[in-house]
Amino acid sequence: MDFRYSDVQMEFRTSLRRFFAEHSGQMTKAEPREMARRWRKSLWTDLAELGTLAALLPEAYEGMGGDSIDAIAILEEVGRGQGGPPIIENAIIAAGLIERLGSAQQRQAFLPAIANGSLKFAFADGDILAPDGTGPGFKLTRQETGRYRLEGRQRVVVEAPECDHLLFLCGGIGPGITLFCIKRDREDVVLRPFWTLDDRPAASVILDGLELDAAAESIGAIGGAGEAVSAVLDLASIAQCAEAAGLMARLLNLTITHLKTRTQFGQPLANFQALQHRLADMYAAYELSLSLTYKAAILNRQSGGPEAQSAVSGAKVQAAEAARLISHEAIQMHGAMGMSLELPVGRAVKRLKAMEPQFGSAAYHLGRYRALRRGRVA
Amino acid sequence: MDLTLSQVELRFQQHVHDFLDAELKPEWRGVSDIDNRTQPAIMAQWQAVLAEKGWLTAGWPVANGGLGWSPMQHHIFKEACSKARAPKISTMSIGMIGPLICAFGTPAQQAFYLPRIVNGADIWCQGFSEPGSGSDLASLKTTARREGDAYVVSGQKIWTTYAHLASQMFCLVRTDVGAVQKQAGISMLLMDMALPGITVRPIHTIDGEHHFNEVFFDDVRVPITCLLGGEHQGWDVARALLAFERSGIADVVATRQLLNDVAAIAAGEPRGTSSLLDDDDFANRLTKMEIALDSLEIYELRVMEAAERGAAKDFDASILKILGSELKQKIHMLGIEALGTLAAVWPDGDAPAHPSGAGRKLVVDALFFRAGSIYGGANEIQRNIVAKSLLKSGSEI
Repeated sequence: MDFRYSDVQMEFRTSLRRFFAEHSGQMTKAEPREMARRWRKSLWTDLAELGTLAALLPEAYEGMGGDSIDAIAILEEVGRGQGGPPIIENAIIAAGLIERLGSAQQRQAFLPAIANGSLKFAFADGDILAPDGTGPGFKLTRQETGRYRLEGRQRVVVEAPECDHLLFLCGGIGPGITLFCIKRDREDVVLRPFWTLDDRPAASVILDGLELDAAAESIGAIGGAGEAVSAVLDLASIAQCAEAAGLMARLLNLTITHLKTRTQFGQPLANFQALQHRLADMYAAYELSLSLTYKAAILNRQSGGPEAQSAVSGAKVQAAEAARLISHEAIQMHGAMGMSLELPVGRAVKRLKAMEPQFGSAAYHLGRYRALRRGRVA
Repeated sequence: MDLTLSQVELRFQQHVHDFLDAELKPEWRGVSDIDNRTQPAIMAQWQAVLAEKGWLTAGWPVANGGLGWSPMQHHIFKEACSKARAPKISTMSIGMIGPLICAFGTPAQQAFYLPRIVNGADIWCQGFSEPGSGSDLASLKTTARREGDAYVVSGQKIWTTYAHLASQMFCLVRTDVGAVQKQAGISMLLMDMALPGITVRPIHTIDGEHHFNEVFFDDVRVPITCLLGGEHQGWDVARALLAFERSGIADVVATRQLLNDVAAIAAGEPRGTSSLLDDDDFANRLTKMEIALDSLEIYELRVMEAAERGAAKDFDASILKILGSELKQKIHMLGIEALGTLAAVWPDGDAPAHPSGAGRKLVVDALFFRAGSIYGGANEIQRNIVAKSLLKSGSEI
């Protein structure tokens, strides 16, 4: 039994913490979107040079072969630094899908480029984890031999305007789902760009008869992506829960500092029991959420069976619950200051809110956990 | 990071399981908290078996019969006992006063009291709360004035669990009424409940049982040899109790059994073509509680693992107590909801019972366990402890 990160992981976290501290000065209130662009250009390269992306990629492709524990060690620290860079989208989702499904040629073309930060991806999952569960909103139809036609839309695809390649999850042929990879700058891909509430670039993606070359542009066999997508989204969820835990720790630290320094009625807010008790509940929620994230990461490293899967879904549910409590209480305890864009509280709250529905909402994961545990009662 | 037990721990766990398989009689299994109180005989028999094995006092100092187990070994033992639905071990005798006498008792006190605790000759109760002193324990007013070779005790204790069954009480009394700091004038006395001047009156609780009592002291002469620790040092003696136990506070195994009972009740309640267990609203609430319990289980392990390497936080036990008791209360309430109109039945005579058999116990347990967030330091006090520590510490979370 051991819940510590290794010395190597701790060292890497320290260097990440330093990196985020150095650059947090640049995050001015006026330019969060400019900052977001930098995180995807010069700072993205710096982050890659630090080894952040390579840490999570396979050794055969200029990575360091990191596992789920490395992922949470890194992402927890990213959350503490407010988060922002699309590490999960690239080093976990794109790299994971290409590693599991791609041809040798595709792996060689893409994975080292993800590790060194020279290629960025976005993943349009076709809303497969939407509560209605109808499968990907992108539908393939077969044209003459070897060629496919893709139609459909997805309202929110994060990172789409800033990526080099778009990964699409498509249904339409048989029961399986298929992964395609295309260049973002193709003329027949319509992107309607916007920003998310946590200042990430995103776009609605509209495909109206996109011609695809299966041999060149599909990643893996037609209809063969299901298992890999499920495994990769589980790992992405675990990493995201760790990032959420980092953000929650950030909010707790900000709130504690505020309670100790803000004076009203001639004494620090920290003296008021009504606030003390709520702080205790915030902290307990954080510890509960972090605990299940650890369990999910540990089980995921061992195997991907139902117990590991239910731990992932449990972690997502618990993280959503804790994030709501901690976010709302952090704003409330900061008073009107908590409403200000100038304070870091609001940005952390918005990041937590925006990540909640990604990789499956709390409602989706509650249902999945329920289904996986069904049969518990004789 | 790793969730598995070491080889040594696994062997120990197997040893505990083998022991429980061999020694824990079927009729002792599944005795609830409440039955423990009404059937002390079973608890005494089980404690005798554990004492024979040497495990009853495993947590005591090695010099007094302890085994020097690691925090994880204690956790493994308690978890295995809970899973086997073994009777609980007496908290007051084995968990509280035994270790206190080991830490603060004179050689003569240790020689007299400890063997009687182990062999079950004495059952102990705890005389702390008073009518005017609950959470504000240090304001207690029961006095003990020195007269020759005795303290003369007068006053009253209340909510005294087990007082009607106990042969001894460890009791906080005020020995210095003039002390400036209210904590400074308190002493702990070991009182024989047979002493003249002690009157015990029952308090019946909302679950219909008799757990609590009022205890009146009318000039009770307690020999000065029954003072535990120094005179006026009783507050420090009592505070030492806080440091003894982290494992088992959250009671995860028993709460999971309760959750499964609630699921079984729901599965037996028809709803259309299916059961209450398939009702989305009910099932989602049950599932959220199950997920919270999964989280608590790992949090408890994290606390044990930290304790193992001396890195536990001073408020870990408080968080375990808050989370464990409040989650269990929520599950109780969901169980009552699942019982529907049968939850309103007072279970005696020819009153209708739930077919699962779990109903009666659940309602009574749920009523009793409203005390879970009060006893052992009310959850409000636990939240004070957590918050004060978070707000005092200079280090980041």
